[in-house]
Amino acid sequence: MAMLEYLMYGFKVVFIPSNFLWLTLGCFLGTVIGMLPGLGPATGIALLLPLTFVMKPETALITMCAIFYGAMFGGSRSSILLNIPGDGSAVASCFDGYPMTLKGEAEAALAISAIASFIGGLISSIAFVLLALPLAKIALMFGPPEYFALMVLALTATASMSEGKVLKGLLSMALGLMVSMVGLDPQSGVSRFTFGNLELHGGIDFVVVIIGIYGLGEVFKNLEKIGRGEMLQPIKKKFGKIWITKEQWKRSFIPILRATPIGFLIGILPGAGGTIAALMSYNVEKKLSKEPERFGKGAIEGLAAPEAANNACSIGAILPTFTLGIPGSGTAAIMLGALMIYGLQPGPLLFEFYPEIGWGVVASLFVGNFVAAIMNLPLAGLIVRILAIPPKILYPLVTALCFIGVYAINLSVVDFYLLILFGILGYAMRKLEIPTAPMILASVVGRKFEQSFRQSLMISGGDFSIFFKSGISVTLLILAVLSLVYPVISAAVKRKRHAI
Amino acid sequence: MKDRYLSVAVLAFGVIYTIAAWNLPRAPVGNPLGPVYFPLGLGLLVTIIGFLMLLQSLKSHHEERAHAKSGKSAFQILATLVLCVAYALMFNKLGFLFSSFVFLSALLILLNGLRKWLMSLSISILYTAGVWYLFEKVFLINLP
Repeated sequence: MAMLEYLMYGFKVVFIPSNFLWLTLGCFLGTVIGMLPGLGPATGIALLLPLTFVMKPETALITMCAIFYGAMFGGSRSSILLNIPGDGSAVASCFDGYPMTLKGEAEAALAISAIASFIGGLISSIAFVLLALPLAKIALMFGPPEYFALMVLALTATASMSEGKVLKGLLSMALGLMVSMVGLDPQSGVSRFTFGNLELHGGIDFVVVIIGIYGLGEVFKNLEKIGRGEMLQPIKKKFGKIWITKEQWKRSFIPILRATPIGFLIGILPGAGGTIAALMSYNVEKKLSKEPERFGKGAIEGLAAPEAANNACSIGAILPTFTLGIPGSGTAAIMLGALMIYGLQPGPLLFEFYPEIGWGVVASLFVGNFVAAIMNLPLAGLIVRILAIPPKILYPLVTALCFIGVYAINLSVVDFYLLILFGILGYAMRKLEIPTAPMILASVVGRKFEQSFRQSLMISGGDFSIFFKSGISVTLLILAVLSLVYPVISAAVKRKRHAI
Repeated sequence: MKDRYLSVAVLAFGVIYTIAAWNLPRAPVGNPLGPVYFPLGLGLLVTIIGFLMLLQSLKSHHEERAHAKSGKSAFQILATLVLCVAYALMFNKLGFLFSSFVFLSALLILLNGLRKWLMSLSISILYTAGVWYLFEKVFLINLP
């Protein structure tokens, strides 16, 4: 088994003391950030991304995975204790998690969420190992036209997943692509949309976009809530033993196993993120349950299922990111961005030429899972105290961190103005209910997307039919069209049914 | 109503972007239209999206729930924005230590009120010193 050998090599990389230290720290920071209301994994990684610039690439990526991981574990803490989801994917955890807290079962709720996350993450990591190489091999068959088609699919799918808001999703995608157009065109040297500003010639760094939209934009949104007097609930600080009873375990075990593959598969699909995975698995459990009336009133299986799905999904989303270069979610797009910052090409060559990175990351999924589980079970009582930080102190700090993080990218103050601009844009998008994930995704892959388009045309000598010549690209393009048309049709069908 | 204004804005933006894309310089080598295709397509896409959104908003008449507007939060957001711009302006001139300390103190006092000034100032000092140490000594990045 060559794969096991690779994996062992990956473990060796992870257990190098400095790497392991960063992994632990990343899990901790991720848990903390995921836990804070209003700050999810995407914001967390965006804020801490500049921190990893000074590290070796493998250390940086391991740290980032750990932050991602910790944030997935931590995201549900505020859902359970305060009924405020850390981010979208923790919404489903509010449904039964908060009622459990009200019933005085906060300890069991915290415990099952960590246990379910752990099992979901572990099984998905194994699936990741089994699928990584075969998927990477498929990528070898891809030329520029196929890549172009694949990215069309990823982008349209992400846009159309924004339920009932396909147009706004597409708008967000177009905005992201437009951002990536700014700067000198790498193929012809023509300057585009720089308005004569020399600083813009190098293009807009997508890290600035990410920190602006997810960091500063989130701050503005939360300032509004603070101004309205929300987010001021007191938090429970004293906990008993954080564990579950046998009876609770029996109820949750099967739902966890059911939710894991659901989450993993949804994660691999481009576009659909943790929110959809968690909600879907919650609905599945509710439908299958013999006592559906318990759901929403503190049913432990109603918390276990979305938690497992959520973590499984986050690992599923990294799979196409590392093997195909197509991120499965906004957060995974940030990870892809990090890969690109180090000049690394995701795909089969990553695993072949940089095994310390490819396999190190894979092994870090397993190790991070354990570390995060330890942090969230025995140490949970200590860590949740961070939730007691008043938002009025937290958000000014986050604001300052956004700026210093952006400064670390280019050591340029020009980025500050871009940051403020994207912060305002992010806030406006939230107010106008325009989804932000498609924009992030588009701004990260935008340049590559255009390059693959133009390389294809160069190969064909300007003939557009090249995109319809190979079976792979035609299939991908048809899927892309379907992903756009499906929500429209299904909405129309629903409306008809309602009319009858 | 909000959606109708948005759709008109999107439509206008799409048209302007399309025109700007068409007026982009042509490539001196290779396909002269090479750098134009993509932005042009994007501009057209946004124009179409704006048009469809406008149609949608004209069709639907559902009431929008009015959010309780709070003058206080609007003021706080605006003040934060002004502080952010001020921070960007003074960062290079006055140096990281001074400008960050003033920026964070101002933000904290803005939200927590003047009465808790001691807490605000101490947090700012801790933050500024901490970040400075991390950048200068650990990451070896020079701050202005």
